Amino acid sequence: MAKAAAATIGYFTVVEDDNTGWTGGLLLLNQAGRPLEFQCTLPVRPTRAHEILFGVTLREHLINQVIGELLLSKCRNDISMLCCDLPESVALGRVCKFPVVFLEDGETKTKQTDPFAELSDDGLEERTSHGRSATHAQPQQNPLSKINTPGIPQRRDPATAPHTPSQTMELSGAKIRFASRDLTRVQEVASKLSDLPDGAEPFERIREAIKEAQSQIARAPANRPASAA
Amino acid sequence: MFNANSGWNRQQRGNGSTLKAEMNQEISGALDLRGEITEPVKIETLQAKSLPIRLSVIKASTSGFLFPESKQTLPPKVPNTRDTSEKKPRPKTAKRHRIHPPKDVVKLQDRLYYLLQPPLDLLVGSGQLNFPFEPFPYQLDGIAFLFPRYAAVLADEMGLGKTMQAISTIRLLLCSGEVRSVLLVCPKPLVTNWLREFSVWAPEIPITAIEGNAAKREFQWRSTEIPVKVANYELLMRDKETVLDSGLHFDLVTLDEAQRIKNRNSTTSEIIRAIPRTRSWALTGTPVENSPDDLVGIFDYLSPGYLKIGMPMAEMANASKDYIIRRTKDMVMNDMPPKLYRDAELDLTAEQWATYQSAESEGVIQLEELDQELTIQHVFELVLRLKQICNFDPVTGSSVKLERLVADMEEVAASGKKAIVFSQWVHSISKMKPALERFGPLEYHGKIPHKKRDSVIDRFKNDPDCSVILMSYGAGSVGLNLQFCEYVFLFDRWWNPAIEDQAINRAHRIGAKGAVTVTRMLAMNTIEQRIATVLDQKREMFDMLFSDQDGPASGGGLTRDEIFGLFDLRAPCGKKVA
Repeated sequence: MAKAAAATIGYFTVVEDDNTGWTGGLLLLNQAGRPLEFQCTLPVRPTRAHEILFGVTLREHLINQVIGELLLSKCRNDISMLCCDLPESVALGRVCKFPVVFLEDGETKTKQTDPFAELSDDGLEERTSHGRSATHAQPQQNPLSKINTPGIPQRRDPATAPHTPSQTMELSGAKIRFASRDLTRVQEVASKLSDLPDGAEPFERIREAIKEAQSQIARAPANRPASAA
Repeated sequence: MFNANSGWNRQQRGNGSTLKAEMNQEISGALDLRGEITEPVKIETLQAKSLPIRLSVIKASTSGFLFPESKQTLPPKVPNTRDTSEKKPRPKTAKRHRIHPPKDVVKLQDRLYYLLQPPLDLLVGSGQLNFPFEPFPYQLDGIAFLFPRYAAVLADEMGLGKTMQAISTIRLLLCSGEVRSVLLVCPKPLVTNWLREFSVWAPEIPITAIEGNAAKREFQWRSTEIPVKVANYELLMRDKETVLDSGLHFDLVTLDEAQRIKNRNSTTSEIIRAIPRTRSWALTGTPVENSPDDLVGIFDYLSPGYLKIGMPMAEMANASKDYIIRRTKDMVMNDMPPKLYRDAELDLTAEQWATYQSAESEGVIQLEELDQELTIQHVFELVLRLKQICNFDPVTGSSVKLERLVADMEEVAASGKKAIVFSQWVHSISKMKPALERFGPLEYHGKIPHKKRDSVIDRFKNDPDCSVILMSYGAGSVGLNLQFCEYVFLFDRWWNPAIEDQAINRAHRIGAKGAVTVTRMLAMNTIEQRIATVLDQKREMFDMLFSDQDGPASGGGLTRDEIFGLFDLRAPCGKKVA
């Protein structure tokens, strides 16, 4: 009997700092919570022009298109599921073949609305017809196009998809929210992650690691934070 | 109505400034200031000029690494461990016991390797990391401290489980493949204790004690199948050539009771420092006994030249901070039963007093007559003679301390408790024994063969008729777990309060059921009282060196000058010491 493939879970967050900029971290764990791979960015500093022209969409653009997609493309191991603690990050689900879940009780304070609401089919159609303001202001090639599997994500199976855009479940003591259409896949991955000690704690590790990296950068004057020209 | 001409200018004055608004808009007429049409207006076509703004793509650069597969292994479950299959609820504000990289790890990737490991408390809570008993939080911190360090001093107060912390960390390092060969060096009486503790905390790790004849030891040293070897300090002297010159290499060398190498010039210290090794750990409850230079001796093993003799204490404390972890019971054991000190200040019996006075006055006169030939050895001999008289009158055997001990033991035995009595001399222990016969006294000292010592401890623990064990400081002050005792008597005082603390902590340690009462016997107006005063001052030195530690002070012994000073003598160099 063939052994079931081991599950992995990626944790992705972005730390914003007034002085250093935006730094992203992606930590990939095995089913026991042990680290397999870590990827992080150097701090990204958008210019004043970016701030003006992207407006309120800059944050989502940085988190997803600039940092999130880059880190996912750099990851050398397979990811079974991605866990985020920033509501904007759930949009990464559009470019991933694996489910993206959102940690509801993470340290990052979020607005009370369902982050998956805008990603529902209706929301997607609306976005498609009206254009994505953030990305359309600066169209760029999707760096993750290679991992887009034809037919995935399947937008809605009318027979199975519930009407609510998202659902929640517990993952190793943490409450996660995910798109309803991903229910089966999330359940399947979560069942393989039963040894994960804590569903939320890995974000603490990423933040510690980013803090450590930033302190090293601060100590090394030659390594100035990368700034968008 | 609007028959305006080609242009229209309007000037408006206000606040001292002039606004000139010129419109290039084509309108059908213009009004003058009175609102009347003055002339026809010709309207020009509106034209826009573009100004291109090129917005650069926001780019991020990444850095990343893969974790080595071999470093992910956890030890197998220990048999008969508690059931941890049920996960504990996740406390939101729990203090994490993370592995933090030491300061001497510089490369970012190496530092992140440690920072990104799951906290130890979560591994324990999830059942991935098993222990036969649930570790205390500070013990997890100790493991997290030792794990990444290539040079470390675990200086916890006696009784807090240094052995368990060292074994558990060795277990993790062995299972993760970070180390493959470990040498443990300890005093000879503690070898069996280490073997026993390993069987409890790391039963799956093969371990052997280096012992037997030379051929057997040679074979044991060279064996690569046993990852953990235990040797005693004395044996290292005998097997020096095998250990140092035959190509052996240890990934980790751990010294128990590391104060043994505080004297940098001793042969033991020289041999230990020369052992080929990658990691060096030192375990000691008393990293400093006499002077800050003791710490230099230990650091010469950990990181030669890092600390220097004569370094200012504050500088030394700061430099060594990242290498030393020290916790005291007061700091970490909130639920630990208290340790109650009771100073029994006793006046010598008439017989003892007469003998004492005579011996001291004659002794001092003799010392003074030696003049330039006076050595510390002469003074030391007089101190010992006087201390012995404080224990027992050599002529009549009269002893105020024994009288007090017997009286106290009545109460201890009547309440079903057990007591430990410490003395510096086997001779004094032998003299106590007859008077304590009804309390079933057992003896544990240098004259009891090593092979019989374990059975003595077992009998003391299990025989309800044995209420007291008589121990010498040398044999009984380290490595024994006697937490079932609630009474400790210091029949005479050791030179060094750190040794006294070690002795007391045989009883006052993890697992102690009730308060431990320590009775320190002190013969008033004698040399004992003078020594006690000097030792109190020594404790202050320890406090200064470990100033960020709030634990009970443990000071060092008496220096040469201090010993001369006990009798208000001049040292041979001519300098009078008080």
